[in-house]
Amino acid sequence: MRISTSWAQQTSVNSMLDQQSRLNQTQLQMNAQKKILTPSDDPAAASRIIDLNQSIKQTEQYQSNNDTARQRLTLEDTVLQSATDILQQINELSIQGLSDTNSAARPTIAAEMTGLNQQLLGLANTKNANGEYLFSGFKSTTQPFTQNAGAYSYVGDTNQRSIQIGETWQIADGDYGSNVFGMPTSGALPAPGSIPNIFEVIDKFVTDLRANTPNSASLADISSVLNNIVTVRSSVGTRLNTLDNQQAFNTDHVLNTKTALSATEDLDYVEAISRFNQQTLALQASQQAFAQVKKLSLFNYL
Amino acid sequence: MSGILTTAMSGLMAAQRSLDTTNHNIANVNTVGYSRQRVELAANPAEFIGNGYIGQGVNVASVSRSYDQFITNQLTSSTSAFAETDTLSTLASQVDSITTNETIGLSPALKSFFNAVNGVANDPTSIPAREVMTSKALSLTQQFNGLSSQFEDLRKQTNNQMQTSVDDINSYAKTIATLNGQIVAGSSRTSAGQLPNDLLDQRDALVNKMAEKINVSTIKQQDGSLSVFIGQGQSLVLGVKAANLSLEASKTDSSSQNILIDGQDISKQISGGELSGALEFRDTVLDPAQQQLGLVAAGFAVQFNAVHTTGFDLNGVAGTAIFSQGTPTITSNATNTGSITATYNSSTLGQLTPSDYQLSYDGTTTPPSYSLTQLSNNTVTHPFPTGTTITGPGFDISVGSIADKDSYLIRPTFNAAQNMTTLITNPLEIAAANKTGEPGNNKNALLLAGLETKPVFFGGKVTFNGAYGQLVAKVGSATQSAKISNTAQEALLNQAKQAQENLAGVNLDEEAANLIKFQQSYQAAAKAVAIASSLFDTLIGAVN
Repeated sequence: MRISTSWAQQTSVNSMLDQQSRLNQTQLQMNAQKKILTPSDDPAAASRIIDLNQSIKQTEQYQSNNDTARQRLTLEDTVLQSATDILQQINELSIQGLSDTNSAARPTIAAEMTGLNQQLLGLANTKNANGEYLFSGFKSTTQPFTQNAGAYSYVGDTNQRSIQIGETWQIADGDYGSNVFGMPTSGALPAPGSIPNIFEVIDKFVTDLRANTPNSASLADISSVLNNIVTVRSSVGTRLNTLDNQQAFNTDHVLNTKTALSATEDLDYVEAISRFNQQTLALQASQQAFAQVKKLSLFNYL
Repeated sequence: MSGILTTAMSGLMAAQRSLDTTNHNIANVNTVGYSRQRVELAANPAEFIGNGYIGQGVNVASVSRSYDQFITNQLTSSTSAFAETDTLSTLASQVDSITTNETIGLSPALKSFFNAVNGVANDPTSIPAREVMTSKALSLTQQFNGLSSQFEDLRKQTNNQMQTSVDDINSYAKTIATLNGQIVAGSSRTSAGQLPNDLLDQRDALVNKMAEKINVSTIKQQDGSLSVFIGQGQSLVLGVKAANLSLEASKTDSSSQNILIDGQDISKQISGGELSGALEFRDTVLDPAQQQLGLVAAGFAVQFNAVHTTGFDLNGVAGTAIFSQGTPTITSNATNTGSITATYNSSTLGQLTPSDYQLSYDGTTTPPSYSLTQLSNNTVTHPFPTGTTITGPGFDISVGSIADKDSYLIRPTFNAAQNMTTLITNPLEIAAANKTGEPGNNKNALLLAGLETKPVFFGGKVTFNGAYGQLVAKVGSATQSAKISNTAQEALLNQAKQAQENLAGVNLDEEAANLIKFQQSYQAAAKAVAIASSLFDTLIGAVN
């Protein structure tokens, strides 16, 4: 068979170009540390990579939402812890105040309890780092409890804000004031034993104490508001626990998805390096063959 | 006696012509399309001298080129097929790398926008969180616009490439026509029909170059001229006449070019070559990609607005549209007398497809009827009774006035990504609440954030990101199959080239051997002349 001289040369050149192009592809893969450089390398995998990345980023967003909820609930928990401490103090003071042997100390006890009640009111009007009131529901820029000429009112609403912590899971990031501290009564204050609002309970007891007629029924009120706060706090604790579980679940999910993503798009270095070496060798062989064959010509002998 | 000299001289001449031709071959070793030539020698008719025939030497019967019509045709068609897949795969690769580019691809922008929406849902009263959301909304819009303009650039590039191809084809056609004239004149110069080989080579090379641009078929005429046909038998060159190819913007889409031969549209008939590759790229990769992107853009904007407008902003005012996606593009046929408008409809969004639609009106039936045809698969999706409002797939058509035989092209997705803009820049205007006067209310923001994972498209099966993933996968597989068939075509082309080169190409070793052979013939013939001369001298000496 005859072979045309220019085609023989072109064939060697084509072969070297091919080798170079393959070598270059491997080099690009190694630089990018990915086996898929463009979707056409593997369209199905490319579309899966988008899905996996989306799933990872989505879950990371849920984790960040989870952190937000945790921050809020931890703050609420701290506030409720303080409120519980204060209420226990108030409980002790009220028992002291009720004792007949202590009647001389009643004005001092009353003053101390008034101070503690102001602290409680301060706690109920706590703001978070964002400047939002913790306990005013959706009216988070409005101070929830106000005190005017001895009368309390709640101007927040009865909504709880939810935070998305999983694809189908939302969790309340707080509680509204009237649920935690009791709704202030409008109009005439009921008799001790059936006052729902914490501040009014204490104010009523203080007033009675100053008049030297403390009502033992107030103890039931104090224990009822204290129980209520403990209940809310345990619900906060449950939610924090849920956040922990969800976070652990999300962490696992991200890890698993990242493993799947890595298997889909990451380069197998051992394989890539051995391929790189093979391709380098093949290119060198082509180059040497070209150089050798180029020397052969009958004209050399004429 | 004179016979000896004549015979020797004929040998000398034959060797000289053969050497000339061998040198011509060596000189053209690297000439593209050159076919090696051979001097065909024939013995002169012998002279009868009573007791036998005495040879009268040699003559040059013809100079022929190594040529095979079949191999040449195969090379031409392989060249066309390769150029087509090469153009397609080169252009498609560009879309391929755009779609998943980290900086220009849509997925990261979509994700960071929804992260910002989550930020607002977590902190509805936080102005910084709202600022982030408005700025991410703007950059998402820019991302849609940017991708769309990348596609637009590719469209321009494709049109330019088509223009260059058409110009080249016209210039080749003119040159082939001129060569036809020269070849016909050259062949008729000699009575024996000797062919001007180098002109034939030039013409074959031009046909092959033309085949890179468009699929051609040729027929050799009796007079030696070559007729060239493109498409399905449209004649491009007949004798010394060349037809003219031109491009013309489509009536329904000024950015789309049709191919005309002497004014007649043959876009649908042509095949092969760069021209066809560019057309195929536009019709099967670029347009569908742009429509799919538009589907995501329009669907996203419409759906997001629909939820956003049900909420209330930080001032307690009802939410307004965050994005504008414009309206479906409508092109009216030149003969229409009526007019229609179209708007997107969020409640039928699940039916929106990445396709163009045609609305036609038949006024002759009773009652008159509309029909809406989905052009991607040519199915009548909505045969309508009469009426002035038509609920289409994802968009509503409002008919102002319409006349018999009116027809409109409706493109709900094609320009949507380009048309998208952001309307809200004031962070206070983000409607996170579902009730007025509740700044801490994040219920609407939660719904907005939930849109990220909500399957909206294709009858509620595919999310925004999923629809974009479809775009990436579609372009990826189109590019992959173009690359695969390009590799196959390259192998076929190389086989055809090799067959052609093995037959017609010059082998220097062979020519070197021929040089020696013809040199020796020349030397021998020269010796014969010398002997003839010495014979004369002997004879003349004898007379003296």
